[in-house]
Amino acid sequence: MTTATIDAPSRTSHRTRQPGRVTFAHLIRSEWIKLVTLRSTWWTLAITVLAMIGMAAAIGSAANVMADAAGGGAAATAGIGETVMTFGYFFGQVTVAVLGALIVTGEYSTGMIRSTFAAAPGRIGALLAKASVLAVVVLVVGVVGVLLSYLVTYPMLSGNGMAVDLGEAETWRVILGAGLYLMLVSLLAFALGTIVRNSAGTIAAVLGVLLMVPLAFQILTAIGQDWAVNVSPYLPSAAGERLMSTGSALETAGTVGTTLEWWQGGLVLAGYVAVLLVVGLTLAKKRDA
Amino acid sequence: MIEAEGLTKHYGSKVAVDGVSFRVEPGRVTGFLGPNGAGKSTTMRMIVGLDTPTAGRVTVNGKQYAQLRAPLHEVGALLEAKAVHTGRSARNHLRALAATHGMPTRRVDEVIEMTGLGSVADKRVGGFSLGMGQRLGIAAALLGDPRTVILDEPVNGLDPEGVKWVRTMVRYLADQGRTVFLSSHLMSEMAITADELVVIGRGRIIATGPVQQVIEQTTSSSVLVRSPRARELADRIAGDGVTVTASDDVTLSVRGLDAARIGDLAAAQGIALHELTPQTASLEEAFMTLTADDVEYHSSPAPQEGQAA
Repeated sequence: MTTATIDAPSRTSHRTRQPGRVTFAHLIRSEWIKLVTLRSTWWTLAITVLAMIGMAAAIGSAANVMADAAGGGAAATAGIGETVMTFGYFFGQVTVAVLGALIVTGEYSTGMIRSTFAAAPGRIGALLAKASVLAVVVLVVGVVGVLLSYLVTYPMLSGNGMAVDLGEAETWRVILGAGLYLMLVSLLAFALGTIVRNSAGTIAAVLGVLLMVPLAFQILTAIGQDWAVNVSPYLPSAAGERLMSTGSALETAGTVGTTLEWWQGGLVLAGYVAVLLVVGLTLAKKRDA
Repeated sequence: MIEAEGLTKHYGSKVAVDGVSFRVEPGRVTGFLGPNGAGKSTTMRMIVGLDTPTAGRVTVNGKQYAQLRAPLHEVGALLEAKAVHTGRSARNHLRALAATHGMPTRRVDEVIEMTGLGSVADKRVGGFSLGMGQRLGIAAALLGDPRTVILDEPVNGLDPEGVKWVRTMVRYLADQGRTVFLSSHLMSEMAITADELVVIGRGRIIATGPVQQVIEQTTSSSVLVRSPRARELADRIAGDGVTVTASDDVTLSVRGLDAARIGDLAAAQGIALHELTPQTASLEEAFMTLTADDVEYHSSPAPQEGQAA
């Protein structure tokens, strides 16, 4: 039942055509088209999922072998199922960081950013639309990666009673937490990208923060720098990893240093992202494109 | 309509554009002429809000670009540097731009058709020739059916057919009442394409006005006269505002009188003329005169041979 009038588009009606405006919904649509029409997007997302599954399978089979050697189910450590299922995040964070960096630095290196900012001179709307599309895609891909990891490792783990129970809320918190962690990492890279504007520099910076800084703190801790012990839990990676950790802070309180609750850790990482994003958007607004 | 007032841009200590004021009217093709490095591209980037002016302002239809709610419907710009992601196809590039304003996909097909990109529309832009890249840039500029079209060096890299196509297109756009502003460092191209000129050198406006007027203002045209009684004629016609230069006994170069007046004066004196030729300066000559002191990069002599062993 059509009630709306359909006016035939006239070929010469450039004066009468109702011009569309730049809205956030339009920008989201534009950024979605941009993301899915680049081959690099599909490559990075495919590698993310495959690497997550591969790493989960490797650690799952190792866990299975160890459990068998230790005499079966009784040896199963609490939380091993969650650890195996989400283990692929370690590689996945690298590829989603690359994606998050390229989505913005790729525009700077090719000059596309000039088209983007000419179409949306407010700039911040376009960048936030880009960040939103990235966030949703990485969250979904991260959760899918974890779920596929669960399916692939289930046969290995179930024999020794190590597989997670999808009926438990805690399991879903870990699954969603892994997705959120990857999402925040991609946004961290995105925010750094808006500041650095160069692909290689951004990727180096974000991988440095995620992989090298924690290593440096481990060394500092090992050589007896007590302050490093106190700072370590608040590093972006350490804090963010709490999102997919098993066991509450209370249960793991025996370990050295502070242990954040999963939500606290998530907020710390989100805080880093927010600060960098504010800096990046402010610079993007001010700088010449 | 584009209006610039005291538009200035500094990059560090370098002054790219220095207090530029001009006006680009609708319904005319306005050429932005100047040597490389004169500040044309910087000015155009400021018009579309990509660079922030150090001082002064520039408006399009009375508004600063950043205030436009539907910028692609107001202003379409082809900027000199490629502004396209090389990994995306031409069609998808245009689709993404169209989406920002909620334009229908039909419009993308229209500009692809209009710019003759049909055969390469689904290929990745990275493999495009310079000419195809220019056509894509023009397609993007026309996408929103804008009232103002800004084209930075549109004929760069185009083959003769493409050059002719751009000429026809800008004329068509201006005839529709749109504001057309295009830059070039090629004076010959401007002489054919533009109605009005804004000439820039080293970041400053040197001349503005209709093409013919700019030429006349900057090079006084002269009349070549040959006569067996040249010396006598020179004495007769010399006077206020008239300069006569004798190159030899029979040849004169007269400034300040047109050919008809010289002919009449000669006839009145019964002096025979063997030649009477108006010498009109070309835009190229006018441009050279205008920018002679303002060319930033003078060609240096070729390096000595044998230095690079």
